[in-house]
Amino acid sequence: MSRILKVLIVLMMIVGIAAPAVMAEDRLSLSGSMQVRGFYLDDDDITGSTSDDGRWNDQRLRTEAKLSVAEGVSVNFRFDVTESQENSSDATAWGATGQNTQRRADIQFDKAYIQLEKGEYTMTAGQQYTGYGTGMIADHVGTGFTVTRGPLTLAHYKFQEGAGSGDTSLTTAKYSFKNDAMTADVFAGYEPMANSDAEQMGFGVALSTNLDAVALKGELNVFSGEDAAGGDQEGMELYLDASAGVSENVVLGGMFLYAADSDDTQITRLGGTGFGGWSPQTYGYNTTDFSVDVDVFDPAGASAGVMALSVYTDVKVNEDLGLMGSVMFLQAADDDKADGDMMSLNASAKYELMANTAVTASLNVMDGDLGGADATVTQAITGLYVNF
Amino acid sequence: MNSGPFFVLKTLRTTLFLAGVNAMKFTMLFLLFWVACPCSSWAIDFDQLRSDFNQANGFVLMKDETDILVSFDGNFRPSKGAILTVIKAGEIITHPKTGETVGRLEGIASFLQVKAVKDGYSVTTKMSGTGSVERGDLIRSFESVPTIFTSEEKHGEISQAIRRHLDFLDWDISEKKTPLLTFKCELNRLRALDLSGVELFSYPLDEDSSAFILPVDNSVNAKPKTQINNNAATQNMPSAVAPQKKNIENLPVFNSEIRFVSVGDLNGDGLSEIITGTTRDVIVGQIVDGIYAEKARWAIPPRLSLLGLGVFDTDKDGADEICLTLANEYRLTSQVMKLADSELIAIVKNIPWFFHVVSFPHEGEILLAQRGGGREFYEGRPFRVLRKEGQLSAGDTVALPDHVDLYGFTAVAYDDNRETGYLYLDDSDYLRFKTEAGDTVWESSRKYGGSEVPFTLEPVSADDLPAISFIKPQISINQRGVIIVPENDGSRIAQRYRKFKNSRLSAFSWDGNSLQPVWQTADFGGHLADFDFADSDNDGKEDIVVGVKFQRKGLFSKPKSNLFVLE
Repeated sequence: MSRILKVLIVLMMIVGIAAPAVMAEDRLSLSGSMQVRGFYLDDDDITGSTSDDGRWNDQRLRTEAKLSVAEGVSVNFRFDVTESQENSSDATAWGATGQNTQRRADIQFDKAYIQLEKGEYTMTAGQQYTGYGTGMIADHVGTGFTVTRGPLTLAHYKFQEGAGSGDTSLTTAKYSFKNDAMTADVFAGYEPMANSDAEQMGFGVALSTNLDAVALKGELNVFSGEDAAGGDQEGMELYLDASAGVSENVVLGGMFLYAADSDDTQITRLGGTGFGGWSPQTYGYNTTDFSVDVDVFDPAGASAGVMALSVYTDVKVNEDLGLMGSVMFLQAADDDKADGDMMSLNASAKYELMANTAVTASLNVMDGDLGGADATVTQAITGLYVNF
Repeated sequence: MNSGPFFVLKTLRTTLFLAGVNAMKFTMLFLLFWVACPCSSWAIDFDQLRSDFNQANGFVLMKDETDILVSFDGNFRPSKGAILTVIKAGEIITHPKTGETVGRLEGIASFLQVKAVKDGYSVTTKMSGTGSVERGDLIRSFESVPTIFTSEEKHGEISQAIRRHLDFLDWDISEKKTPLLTFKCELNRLRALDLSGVELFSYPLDEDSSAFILPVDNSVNAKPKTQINNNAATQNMPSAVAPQKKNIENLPVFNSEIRFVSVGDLNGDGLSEIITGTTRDVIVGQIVDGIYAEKARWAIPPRLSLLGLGVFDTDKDGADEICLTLANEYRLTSQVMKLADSELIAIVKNIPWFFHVVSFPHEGEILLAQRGGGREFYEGRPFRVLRKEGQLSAGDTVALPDHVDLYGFTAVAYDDNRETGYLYLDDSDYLRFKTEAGDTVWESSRKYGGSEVPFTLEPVSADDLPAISFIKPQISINQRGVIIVPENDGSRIAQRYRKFKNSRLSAFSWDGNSLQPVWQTADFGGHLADFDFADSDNDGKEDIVVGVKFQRKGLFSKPKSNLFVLE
């Protein structure tokens, strides 16, 4: 090791010890969460397994930070450590074979980007997230650039430099309309693939309005594309949601989802998306955390589309306790392609132990045509969450 | 020498010597680092020193022949041996031209020393002073206690630093005064001794105390901390004393976390009401003849959280309405309420705006609003709120400079009222002054504000925690140009967790170039949530009503908040 390198290491250690204390007082703000969860899964009907049901624990420490360098200039990042393997139903994360055996060994930086704000313009550059509406057109983390001016947002992410024709990338645009009565977002995404003529594009409109008694939400997405072999791809999906406060504590709502089947290949979301996820069929406090799930716009996975109806409730019992529950019935839009009938039942509770500290418990039961077989899946999650 | 920069230097030199680094190069690197580092090291833990000599207010509970029982505001517990000052309110100071009250003189009657600390009260004995001590008298810990520092010649820099940090002690004592507190450097320790020579506090001291390093304030705009009741004259206003806590009977203690307090005339009868917003209720009370009484209460529905509270006469009928900024999760659903008999009734509901009542030069108070919520905190520009036929509508927008939010700012007239500027809290809670053109011309060297009112946005994805922002506390300016700023002490590093343990109100004036201190209240010993100045107790004089949160909701504890009136 060269002397210069040694000096640099020592100086970095000094700065590492001294500088954070200074910055902490000044321009650095931290946030994040720690979660420790327990899982239960009975999916024997799908796997054909006759072994014990799956039970395991996982945990994740997530840290986010914003370093304000100057007024309107900040460096932002988010990383996860001690994160367990997702959906690991093998040995527990705290299993006897070693405390780290079921955890990812790396520190995963989900986000690290620069944000500049000047007047009406906001520009971000670096590894960051872009999501619009329910996330079917854009729900992506990657290295790219976004520019926002007032209601218009443009984003570009490059995934792969192509050796031949074109690159793999995702380019999106969103325009928002907002007044006191409603909010509307119009967005579009385009994703060409490297080294082929394959491409996908999507166009969507999301609306939400809050009438005195009823809150309405909806989204319509239309897709078109071509695969590497020149085959056509298409998609059309509709989501409607109406809810009303039946009392000061109780909200009752209903959802309707429709996705057209396709004689070619159905697109339910653009290929580069799917980071955060959206899962109305597992409604509750742990909505996207369940191990077994389906693509709600093509639950049979056969380009058969969907027609789904859900009734849900959200009860705020008091300032500490909240309850959520729903039942959703799903059916393939084209039952010649797949049976696709399914029911998803959800019950979920969240109790605020103290500020920023909550316990949740969520149960999901799916019954019907799952993965081509008539099956019942029961899964439950309970977790302790601390946000800071 | 076992601590401080020289110890660090020695250790690093040894380490680097082992790594083969030339000593001269190392020394240069070290000095470069040391100069570049914005903070110097300390030989004494001044945080501990300030904590030990924390100033807290209280009052005399009762007395017998030997003992005097006292109680402090909030949960403050003095140390055994602490010296308390009994303060008597003196003559009211009025402005020679306007006749308005600018403050009140106060006199020191005597000094007490804490013998024992009990739950809810402390037992003291009289230490010095000839004045009488009566039930209800105001006390303040360590206020103007005659103090000396021995071994001044050898430890002059330490003496200066301590005098600076404990500037509320009386260091300027004549031969006729007996020092009740003595600081002494001996045996590598700084010791604080009482009149009998008993050690009250002790702090480890660098062996080579001549190398004591004074705190370095890098800000070119650094301002000295204002002394309570100081006489620092300013360009725009006469010197003034800090307002003192006033005894009001039945001032409420809330079993919820106080968020806002405001004063207005809700029924147009010429008498002020105090409107308090907590995490659970909006409470209307009134002080008449020195007695507080509750008049109305509205329970905030469990789904809603209170983000703002102001009073404004929206319909110009002579009676103020309460403008509440409310959120249902991340969606704003604000409302305007009026007092009808002993009931609060919503007259306009479900407004997706933030409300803020703010004073502008040449205009007085106006009601501003701004759209927000969903996935953005603030959208567009703030606008004036109009009311026609019972409904609110958006009027002209107000052009605030970039980074000046709807909350946490005040407009300031200067240069003989020819110019208007904006004093505001930035996102890191530093005070900044911007001209109307948007140029930043001044920035504080310390943090002010400090909010514990969070507002969360809709998560951008199921994988994200919702973004959070704290509603900035108000900065107010009165008709005499005195700017009042809350100051809460505590860490702001965790975005979702705020716990301010000590606070005060500081008053300033803007002299055209910088903010000049006018007065500063004693510490409140809790989180100063909000304040308003008006004649809140209906005695014909302007006062300040303050809401302080002393205890938060915990796993096994209930929240507790108090109201105070300062005059």
